[in-house]
Amino acid sequence: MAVKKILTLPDETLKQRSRPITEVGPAEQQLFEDLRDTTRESPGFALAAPQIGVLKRAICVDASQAKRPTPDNNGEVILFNPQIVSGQNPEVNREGCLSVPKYTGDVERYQKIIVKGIDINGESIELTSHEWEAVAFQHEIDHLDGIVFIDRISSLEDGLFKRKPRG
Amino acid sequence: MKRYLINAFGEDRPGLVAKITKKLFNSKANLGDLQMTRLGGIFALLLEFFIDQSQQAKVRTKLQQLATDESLKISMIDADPYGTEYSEQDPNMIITLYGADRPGIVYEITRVLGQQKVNIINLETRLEETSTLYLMVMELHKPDTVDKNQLTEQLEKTAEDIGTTIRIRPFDPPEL
Repeated sequence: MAVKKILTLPDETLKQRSRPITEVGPAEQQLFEDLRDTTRESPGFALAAPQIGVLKRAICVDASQAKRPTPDNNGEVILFNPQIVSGQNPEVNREGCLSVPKYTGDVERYQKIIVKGIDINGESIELTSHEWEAVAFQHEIDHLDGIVFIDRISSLEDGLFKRKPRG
Repeated sequence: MKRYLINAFGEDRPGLVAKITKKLFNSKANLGDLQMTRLGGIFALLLEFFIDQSQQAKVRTKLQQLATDESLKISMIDADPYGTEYSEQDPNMIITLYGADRPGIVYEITRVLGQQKVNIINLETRLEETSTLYLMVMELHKPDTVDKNQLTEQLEKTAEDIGTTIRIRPFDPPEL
């Protein structure tokens, strides 16, 4: 059990691009466990490796763990080198980020995607994902490119909201 | 450090925010929340800042001088006396409403909210000059003690009575 500290802005790590994973060795096995354990213990349901301070292309999404679980979700998915293959039905919704506590923003994301990557055994996998689970994949893959939701706010006027007015 | 608020109005033109914040920066103030918009075409700014109490009178004088020089209306108040009973509440509901413009839209809707002790956290409305379409977006905190279905029903009925379309959504963005 290794629950890592989740980095928050303005930590510079969150603005870096992560490196692709070229082989799954002991370090990647450790990263897999750290991502899994930290996501399970977090108030959210998805995490990217840079959020726990590792600049490697790895994410964890578990929409079954969400407060309102996405119907027909893929359960706990830990992907290395994840990529969006295709996306449909862009929609603007309010989202938050564990690395940007207390703020939320309206971001346009695909509501249906195909995502691919490799699993802990080095096998290629491809998944179809919907709704909040699909949003989470896009949000986490953004982290691998040093992008946080604030970079994607679409509306100048109503884009960024504080969760709490003060405190 | 003490907390103060400013509001400023004037004829809109480039450079106003810089002129105001320069005075604050030079007095070693740290800014908190700031909102600036054109309200009906007029420059309108709301700003929170923190400053050592000893600087307070000096800042006030500087801002008044700026107001005179730039034909602005600026007022500054001490924010500390205000209570925080409601200010820690998170929004948990969003309302969007639109319809043909007529007097009383904001009043009719907010009257229902006020009666139910639903607190407004953000409210923006728009009426473009060449349009007759009135738009309103609100972020609200509904206390747990208020029945959601009953509130929704009341708001929908009120919206219909004033010829508008209302959409009420729960607000619970996931943290990813």
